Amino acid sequence: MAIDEDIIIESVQQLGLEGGENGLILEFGVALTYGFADYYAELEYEAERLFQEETEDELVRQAARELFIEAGHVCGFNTLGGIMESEAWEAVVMPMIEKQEDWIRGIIAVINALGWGRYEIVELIPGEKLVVQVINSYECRHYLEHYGTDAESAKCYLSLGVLSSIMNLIYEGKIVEKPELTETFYHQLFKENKKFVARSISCRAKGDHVCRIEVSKID
Amino acid sequence: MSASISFDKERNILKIGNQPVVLHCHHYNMFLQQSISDLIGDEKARTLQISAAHRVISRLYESIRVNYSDPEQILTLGSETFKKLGYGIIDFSKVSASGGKILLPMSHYAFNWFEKFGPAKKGVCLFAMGFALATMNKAFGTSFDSTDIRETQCRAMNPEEYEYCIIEVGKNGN
Repeated sequence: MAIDEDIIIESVQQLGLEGGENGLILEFGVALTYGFADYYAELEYEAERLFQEETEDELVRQAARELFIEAGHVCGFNTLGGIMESEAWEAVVMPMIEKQEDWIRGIIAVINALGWGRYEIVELIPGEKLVVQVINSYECRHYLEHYGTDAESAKCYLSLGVLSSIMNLIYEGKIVEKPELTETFYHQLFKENKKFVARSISCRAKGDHVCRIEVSKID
Repeated sequence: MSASISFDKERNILKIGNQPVVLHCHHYNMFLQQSISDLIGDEKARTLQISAAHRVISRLYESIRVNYSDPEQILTLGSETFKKLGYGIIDFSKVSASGGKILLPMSHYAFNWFEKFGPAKKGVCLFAMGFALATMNKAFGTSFDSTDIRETQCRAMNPEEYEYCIIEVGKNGN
């Protein structure tokens, strides 16, 4: 049985994620919020703009961008990792999984239910490379609306971080064995033994037609 | 009473009112908030986050139908929406048009900040402050610029001593 994205999206919606008695959404081992897309995007790009007013050093500016990409690693590791270890994943997605790369197709289908935009796999070489087209990402949507199309660098920070975290979790972190998602494991996976990195191939914020991201193995 | 969350299947967008929303976990929320402070400093980060929250919540209220002549309805809508979206419990029962105290018996940011990072040096409920201010502005017809807002007690600073987070709102200069 192939991965059926429609069924996965419907299943996420049927979870009925809303704040409980204490106003928290506790699911997948994390506390979730419905955050406002324009809030997150404004924080990223305004903080970046204010930071750039303080320095013209491109290396320092890039370090700032890396912080936002790391936020995507944190998100991917905890939220997506938590989802891939959840009972809901076991019940809905696992029966559709035939081979290891189906884990990637399955978690991309889940992402498409989270409101982040539409992620489409363009190329997948198992254990080597993943290319994803991101349509209507909330980051670029906001960027285009407020800053235009002449960004000096790609602005899909969340997507960059999240997509590399998926490859690292599945091929290096062996998420199939349900490791405990601790701070120590995070550091091992993303600081010490990181094997997959993401780079932007094209980005709408730079005037391209589509946002496309490639995740590949470090030699 | 709260606005409903809808899913646009064609574009993979979640919305409440006319505002796109996205599901994120506390690890991301805390990390992003800390990163903003690291980059531009606490004061600029505070201003940015409160005003950004105020903007999105103000736009949300513009887009959903509610009896805007009744402040109580708007405050109830605010509390229910805050809870539904996973930000915790916010209590507007001690506020009036001139300001007052807003209690947060549970705050997503305060609770999870302490869990992730340990004690905070300052209050961390910046999104809640912008949310609260936008709600009060809408309820009482006041403006963002004319109101002063402070978090006078945050559970993330010392959960053993502080049972609640407290946000105080007054008129500027008072």
